[in-house]
Amino acid sequence: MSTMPTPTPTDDLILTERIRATPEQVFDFLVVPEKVLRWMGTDAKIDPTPGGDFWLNVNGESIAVGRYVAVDRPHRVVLTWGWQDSPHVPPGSTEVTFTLTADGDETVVELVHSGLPLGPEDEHKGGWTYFLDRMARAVTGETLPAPGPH
Amino acid sequence: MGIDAAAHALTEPNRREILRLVRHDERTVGDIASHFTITRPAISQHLRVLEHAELVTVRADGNRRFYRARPEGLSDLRLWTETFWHDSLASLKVEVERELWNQRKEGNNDR
Repeated sequence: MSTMPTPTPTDDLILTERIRATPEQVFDFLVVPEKVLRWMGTDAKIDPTPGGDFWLNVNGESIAVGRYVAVDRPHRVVLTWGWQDSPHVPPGSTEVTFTLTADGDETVVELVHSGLPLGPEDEHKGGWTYFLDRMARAVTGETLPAPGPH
Repeated sequence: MGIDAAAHALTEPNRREILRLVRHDERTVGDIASHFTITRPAISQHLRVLEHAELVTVRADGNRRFYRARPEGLSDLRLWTETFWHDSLASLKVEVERELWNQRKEGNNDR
C-alpha cells in the first residue's frame, strides 16, 4: 500500500445542453431560488455572490451544500458542492461550473463537475467510500419532483 | 441494467458497509455477518441485492460462497452520476423554454 500523499485521482464530468434562450434568460435559472427549484430540488437557500452560501435540499432529505466561487452574469457560475453530514463528501469537496455561451438563438450550457474520484484506482485513498456515499445520496435525484406544480 | 439497481443497492447503509468489507478481500457470509448486529439471513438478503446490482461477484468453493466487490460496478455508478446531471440539465432546458414560451404566449394575447 502506498503511503505517498498523492492527491486522489479525479476525472471531470462534462456535460452540455442546448437551450433555446439567451444566456441572460438561462442564468436566472441558476441563481434565482424560485427558478432553481423548478428544475432541481425542493428547497433552496442560496446567496449567489462570491463566497455566498449554497444550500439545496435535492429531494426532501439529501442536502447539497457548498459555496459560490464565481458568479459572472450571464456566462459563468462556479460553486463548490458536497453533501451535508457526509464525512466522505463534505460540503465543498467537489466543484461544479456552469458556463453559458450564446450560439445563434440558443445557449450552450456546459456543466463541469470536478473533483469526482475516478473509481477503483483510488479506493485505497478513500475514493471508494467517497463514491459509494456520494452515489447513495445522489440516487435520490431519481425522485426529483417532475417539473412544474407538484 | 446496473445503474438503477446499483443506485438502489447503495441506498441502504448496511449494504454500503458490506461493500466496504469486501472491497479488498473475499469473504463468506459468516465472516461478513460477524461485523454486523443484523441477522445472517438479513446479510444474505443484502448480498443478493448487491449481486443483482453487479456490485459484488460470488465464487463458490465447495459449500462455501465467497463474496468480493466488483470494481467495474463503479463504472456503472459513475455513469449514474452522469445520468443524474444529464437529467437535471434536460429539466433545466424544459423549464427555461417553457417559461419563454408562456411569456411569448402572454405577449401575443396582450396584443
